[in-house]
Amino acid sequence: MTTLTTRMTEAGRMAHNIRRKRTISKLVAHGLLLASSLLIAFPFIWMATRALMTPEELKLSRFQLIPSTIQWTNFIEFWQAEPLFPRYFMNSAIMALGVLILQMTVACLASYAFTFIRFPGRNLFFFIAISTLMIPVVVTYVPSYIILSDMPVWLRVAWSLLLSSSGLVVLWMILRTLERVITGVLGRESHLLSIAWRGIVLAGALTWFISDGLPAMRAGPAVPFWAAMSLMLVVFLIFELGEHLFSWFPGDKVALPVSIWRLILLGGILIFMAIQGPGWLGDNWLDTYQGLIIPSAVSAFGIFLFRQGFSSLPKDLIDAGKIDGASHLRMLTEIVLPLNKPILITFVIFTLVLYYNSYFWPLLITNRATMRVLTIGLQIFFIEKGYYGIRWHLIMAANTVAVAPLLIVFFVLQRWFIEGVATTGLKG
Amino acid sequence: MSSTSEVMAQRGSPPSWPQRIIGLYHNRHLREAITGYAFIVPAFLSLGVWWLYPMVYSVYLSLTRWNFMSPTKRFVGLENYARLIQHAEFWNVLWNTIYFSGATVILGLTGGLVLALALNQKLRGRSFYRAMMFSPWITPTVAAALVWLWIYNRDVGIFNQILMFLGQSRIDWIGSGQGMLRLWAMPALIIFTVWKSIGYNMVYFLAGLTYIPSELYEAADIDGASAYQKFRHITLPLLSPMTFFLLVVSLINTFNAFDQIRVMTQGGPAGATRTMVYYLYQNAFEFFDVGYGSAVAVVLLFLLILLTFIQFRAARSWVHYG
Repeated sequence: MTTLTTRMTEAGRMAHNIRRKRTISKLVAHGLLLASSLLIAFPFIWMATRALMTPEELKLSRFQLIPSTIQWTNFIEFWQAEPLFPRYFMNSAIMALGVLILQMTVACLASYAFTFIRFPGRNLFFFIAISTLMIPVVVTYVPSYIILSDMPVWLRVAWSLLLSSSGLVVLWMILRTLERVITGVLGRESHLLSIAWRGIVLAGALTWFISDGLPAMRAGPAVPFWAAMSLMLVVFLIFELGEHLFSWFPGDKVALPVSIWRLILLGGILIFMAIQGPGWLGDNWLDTYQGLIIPSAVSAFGIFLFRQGFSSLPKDLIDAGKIDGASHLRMLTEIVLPLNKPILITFVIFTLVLYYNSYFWPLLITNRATMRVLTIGLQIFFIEKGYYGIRWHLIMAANTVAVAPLLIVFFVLQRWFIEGVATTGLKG
Repeated sequence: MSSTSEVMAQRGSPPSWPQRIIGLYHNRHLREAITGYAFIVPAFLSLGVWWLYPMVYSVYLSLTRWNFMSPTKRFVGLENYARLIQHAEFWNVLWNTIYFSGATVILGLTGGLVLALALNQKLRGRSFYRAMMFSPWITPTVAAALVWLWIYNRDVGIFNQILMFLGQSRIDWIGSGQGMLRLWAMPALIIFTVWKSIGYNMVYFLAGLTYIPSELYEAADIDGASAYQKFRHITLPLLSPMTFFLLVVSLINTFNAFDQIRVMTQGGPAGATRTMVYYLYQNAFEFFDVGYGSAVAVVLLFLLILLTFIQFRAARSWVHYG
């Protein structure tokens, strides 16, 4: 023993001390973390075990963790007590998904412009967008409610425009993708194919319009959405067809690119339809899906997040795109977005969770039982069917069913959740 | 790409107005600007309608007296603000808000930092701990509040069971107790909110900690620095941007807190947990006193702007970047 100690040098002793300090700190850390994790996760465990107990057992149990008999029937019972629960879940899902799609589109477009397009007032607009993060959203609730209860015509027109044109774009993209697939299979471009399928779709749209759309449009000032769509589709297809016929014949093109004509005509049709058609988007958006979704259209957080991601792309990529003559929209969808998948996924997760869990706004604007979202459904269940806590086993069962999907998805994808959340604040 | 001047050079005469319009189409800068504006129009249309206009409209509403039903809004000037200042409940509400926010933010950030420091060591099971402690954040506040409602239950809740087990008397956490018992409602809410957000803070602090180079700690070790000194002179300063970010975000979040108050206490007992947001909600949507509620909203807005401004100003002295 003495030989050992005399051989230990000064540096060796210091290293030993540091190592011992490190082990102690590791043990302390483990203990703290274990205790904290159990304490923090405890309410969920409690909830799940209570969901499986009988009401009598609930009253008697003190610290009992495991139910003596597992009451799976609680899960069936709460559903029977409140058969609208699947509807609540569907409403939450529709709201979360609708908000997600809308926010992602709006934020991606805006962030792209803030990052890559130079236009006067760019920095000012960005500052205005980001400053709304500081505003408590509650301040906007009363006026938003008032606006929703009596939507101004111009706003309905704007939304009518937006929705008709997005519908058309989506339809067109689907058809064009199909064409590309077939071209790929065939191995070569076929003009005949292009004209043929456009012609067929045109014939179909004409038939649809003449048989259904035209009578509906004749019916009155409020034009149904699909009637407007069918007319737009017809006119659009005429021009698509025309352009392809043009390109088949050799010779000079018209003085302006044909696409400009198309745009002007489409714009005219859209405006005409929009003015005619606000009827389908009524003037009272309370108790509706659009009332739940559309006021949350802009996400300042999303704009901030996407700008971070977009600006970290190498400049040569965008310059190469510009040289290739790609339009900004194509550069956004084909270059910028695919390279930013992690940030997009972070945003998707964040937004879905945030709006699945939302309570205040739906509480304000929904009234009918069929329009409630899951959070409101749970609270009302507690009051009405759970009798303020007399039927705790049912309440806990309902809670477990509401919370479990989130927790399961979270534990499976936890890396995406946590790492995505953490990277958002670093450059703040 | 022809600009107007090129057209002039080609045609040998000033371009006519149709040619000038076509020339505009070829003007790259104009097209860029128009594309830029087109891209931000959806965002700013929505921003204008659902954020900026409501803020202005709130200020206008705060100067009226309206009950949501009558077709006219009666203009009453600053009467709502006068009522606000004279109403003792408002000052109670203001205090509750500061109490709730302050306690939640301080406890939440401190706890998050401690846990992040513990988690920063190279331990096995890191991701397990991290996931467990982050999980409350992703659950709906309403669902979690319902569970905690039971934990706080006077008769069968686990907290009181533990107290009784230890021989103490039961606490009426959020019940309708009188007098001294009112004290426990706000701490109950604070504990809940800290529980919900501590994992979130922890994750952010953890990310911030990974940016501190370990060489700094090793150098400090060689210099013989104690753990406290290392913490105070390396960790805290280099973590200050993250701390500042969490401070601002947490403050905004606690000012916005509503779900748990509505589910657990509805502002009670006797207004002990009535924060400004809840006060706003009650006045505007339960008592239908829209003007008064809007006045509360405006005060809330200014309070938050003021606090954020103060934070940013103070940040210059204690936040170290780079």
